[in-house]
Amino acid sequence: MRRAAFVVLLSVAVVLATLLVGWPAPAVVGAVAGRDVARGARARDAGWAGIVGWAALLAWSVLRGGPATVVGVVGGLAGVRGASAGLVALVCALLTLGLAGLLAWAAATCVGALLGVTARTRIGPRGMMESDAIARPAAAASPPRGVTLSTTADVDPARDPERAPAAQTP
Amino acid sequence: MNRRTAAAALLLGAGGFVASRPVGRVPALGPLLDPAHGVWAAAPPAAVGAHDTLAIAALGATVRIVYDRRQVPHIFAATELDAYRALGYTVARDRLFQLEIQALASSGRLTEFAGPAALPLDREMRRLGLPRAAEAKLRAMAPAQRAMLDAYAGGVNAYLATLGGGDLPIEFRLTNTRPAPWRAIDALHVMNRMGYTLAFQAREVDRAAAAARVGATAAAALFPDQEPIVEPIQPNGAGAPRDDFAPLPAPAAPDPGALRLASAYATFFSGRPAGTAPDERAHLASNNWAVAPARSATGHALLAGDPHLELTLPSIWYEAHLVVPGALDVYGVTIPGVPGIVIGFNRDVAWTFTNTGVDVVDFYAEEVDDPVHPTRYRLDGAWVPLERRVEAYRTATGALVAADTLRFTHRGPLRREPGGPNGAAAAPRWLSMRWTVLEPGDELGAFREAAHATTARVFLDAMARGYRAPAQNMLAADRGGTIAIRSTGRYPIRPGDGSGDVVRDGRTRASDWTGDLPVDRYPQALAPAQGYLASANQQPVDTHAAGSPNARDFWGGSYDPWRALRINALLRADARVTSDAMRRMQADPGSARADRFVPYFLHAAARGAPAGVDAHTLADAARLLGGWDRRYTRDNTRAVLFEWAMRELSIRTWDELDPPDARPAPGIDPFGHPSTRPPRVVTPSAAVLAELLADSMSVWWDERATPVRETRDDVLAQSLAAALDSCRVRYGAPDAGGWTWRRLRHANIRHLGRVPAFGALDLPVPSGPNTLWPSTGEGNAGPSWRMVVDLGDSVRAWGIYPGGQSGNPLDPGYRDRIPRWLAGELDPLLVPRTPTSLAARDVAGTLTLVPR
Repeated sequence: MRRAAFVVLLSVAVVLATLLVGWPAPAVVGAVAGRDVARGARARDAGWAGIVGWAALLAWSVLRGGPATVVGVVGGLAGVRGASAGLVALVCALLTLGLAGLLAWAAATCVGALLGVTARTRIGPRGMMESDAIARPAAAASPPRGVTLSTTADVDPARDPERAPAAQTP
Repeated sequence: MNRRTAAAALLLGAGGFVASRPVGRVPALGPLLDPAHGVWAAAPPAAVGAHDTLAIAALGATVRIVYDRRQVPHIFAATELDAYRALGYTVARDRLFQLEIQALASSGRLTEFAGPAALPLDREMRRLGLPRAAEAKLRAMAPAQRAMLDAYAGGVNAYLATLGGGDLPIEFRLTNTRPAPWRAIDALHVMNRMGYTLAFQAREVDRAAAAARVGATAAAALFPDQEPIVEPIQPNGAGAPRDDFAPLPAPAAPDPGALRLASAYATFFSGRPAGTAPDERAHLASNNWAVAPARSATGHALLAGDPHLELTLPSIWYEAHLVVPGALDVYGVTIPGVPGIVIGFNRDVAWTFTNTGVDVVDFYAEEVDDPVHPTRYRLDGAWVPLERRVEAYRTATGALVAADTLRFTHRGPLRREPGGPNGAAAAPRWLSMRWTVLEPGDELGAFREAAHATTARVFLDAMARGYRAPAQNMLAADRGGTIAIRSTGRYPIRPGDGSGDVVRDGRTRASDWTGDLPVDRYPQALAPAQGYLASANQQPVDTHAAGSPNARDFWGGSYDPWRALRINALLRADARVTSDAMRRMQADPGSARADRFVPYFLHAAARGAPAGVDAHTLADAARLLGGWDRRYTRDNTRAVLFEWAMRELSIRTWDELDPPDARPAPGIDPFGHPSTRPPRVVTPSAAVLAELLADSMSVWWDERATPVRETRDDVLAQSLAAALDSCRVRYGAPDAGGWTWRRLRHANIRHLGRVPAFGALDLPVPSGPNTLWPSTGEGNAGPSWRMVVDLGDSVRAWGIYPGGQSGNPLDPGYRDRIPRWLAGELDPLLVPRTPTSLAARDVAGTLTLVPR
């Protein structure tokens, strides 16, 4: 349930960000979500949010312009008509969603890992955590010194006990 | 960093890179696929509602804009400035991308949109001095005209101010750009661009190129200043065309010095090579004609016009109606970016233009103080400083693409000839150019004043006061029944023999133009006795007409008699012309050219096959050609044979003009197919070929590559038989369907940004070379606006252009007129006197602009 809420929340963020900043929005939202990933959320959920957000926008835009017209334009840009234009439009739609998912997932993964590392480096040599709002949750779940957090960036140990120990193995 | 993170980082970087950068012709995928702003979001803008209201700045009073069912805005304003401001708003609303791209292209700033690939185009514009000329015109502009420009710009920018990111035309979305604010000077750039398109002529350059192959005497006959077929714009009283044929002088020793003129031309007009076949150039042409009440079925003056220009989507034209009660009531087409109606009518007068084509550009060889970086030029024995101007070409982000230092003499731009005259050994020269397009003119004021005209004469006089370039054959008709024409523009008077076909000595002011022809010596006619007038880019004046005040003036230029012959023949044959007959004439598939040549082909075939020609093939070809009605209808299956025969005839006849080192080169054949035939140096017009037909034994008929001496009929028979062979190979048996004209001749109306999906391609047209609806193999030019006006007590008008009022490719109004244009139909034009005059069924929406 929490995962679904996370995805929905991020999807809404993707929609709003796309309206505001354009195509880099999934990456931006994914990067922001990296904070949660560093805390243990799944980067793939950020990817799904990118896909869902852009799918909603895509549906709205196609309905607004008229599916036949949009298919005609997309096919026309590729230099084909008729059934081929529909196929090209379908491929482009998948490409569009794939791009959103890719950017969101990759940004979330990278930033999550980065914040994880940041959190680790901000943990003192004796394993004492500094007062850092971002680092704190990650630090709470972090392993002892020498264990990289990046391997756990995609896993919430609390909800995925089977994978978490293996991933945390030095 | 584990593998997953590394992969994510790699994908993020690669995805961001690919999404943000165009690859070849594929635009950047990010902006393209963005579902909110990219191609998916290319929805049409919201239509004007039944009663929309919008507050805009600088408006003097409320303006009501009523859109009729054809999406034509009828603008009702309290002042003319408000009307032009509202016109700017409506044009921007419908044609924003066109405004932007035209302004950039005409001011030499296309790199700011298209990147470094557009640099050659920009360089030509700036090196010709067109932006500099626009700046000078703006500085010299009268306050009233400047106020017009400012009002129009204010209207465009008021629309821009309302524009959200989601409202941007798709072209901006695809390129991730935004339109720049419109400036007053942009209108002048656009007008200068029309001068670039229309106010030039390459006849003298063609003649020079021919002289370099066959000598000056022969070249002068092949590219004459006086057309051999005489059907002038200014009636000569003959009431019929006249052939001024004379034997063509034989080819003689080449005159390489003649290339100096061709080189001078190429130095400046790098983007428009001379030497293409005149019949292929003639697609940028136009028709207009008018009949007096005595020859019309309604008893009113009737006027028709159809300018032939490049066909694009959106169209070069935008239809509008401007009404200022008691002051202005003008309907017609405007060029987006130009505040005024260019072709149209008011309640009293209708007008339309064709291009005059007189030579208005000259070149001068200058002496400069430094062969590489000159700062002065010599004039009458003294050194005179050159005006220097640095031109920077930038990308959309402001990055410098290139920079040029341009120089100007008192005549115009100065350029260093690249590599000597056409590669000859002569030292490169510094050349200056004088061109009427670059010089002062008040075209905007002329249009503004003429829109108020109450008679045809007043209209023409208003235009003559300020209009300078490009020279136009301005035809007008009025409600009083007067028809009139005047070829209006600036016609420079040169020293010496008055011709403009030499590179003059720039070191002396004695080489300069000595003045301009006075208006009373312009080609013109007012209420002619014959009761009709017609112009179709033919020679304006019969230089052999006795008693004509301008017969001795210089009228050298590029002319084409064939459409004028056809129009005049149709008008002479109809003493009770109707508006519908005029409409049919505009799409008439008949051809004076075919009427002239077909009998000669048939005659030659009837004399029997010459050596080397298969008699059966020739007989078959003659039978097929003889069965043609000489009309380029879509379903005819013989025009293709005639066109191939004409091509073969031209190839065989003008072999003396082939380059000495002819090599295959990529080109386009008459049907738009790729061809590798070596390009001829230059090709005389079909009118000169017709002149040659009168001399059956001329040495020009002889093919140099054969041991025998061919006669006219030999060459005609060979050409006809060869054409049949070509057609059979390319299109199959004559009646198997492959010869059908609709499969071969098409109009191709391309999108301004060359996006294929946004164009209308492969449209079968009932037209051919030199028909009244002319077409060429590329199909990218033709009748850009057709209009017929009946000037009765209440003006009635019909019109159409190939496209639609909307510039949005996804709007049905983007191309809704094309089917009717293809069918040769015209739409009735609605001309309401008040905002409430239109019937409710004719109103698509109303927009009220109120002062903010």
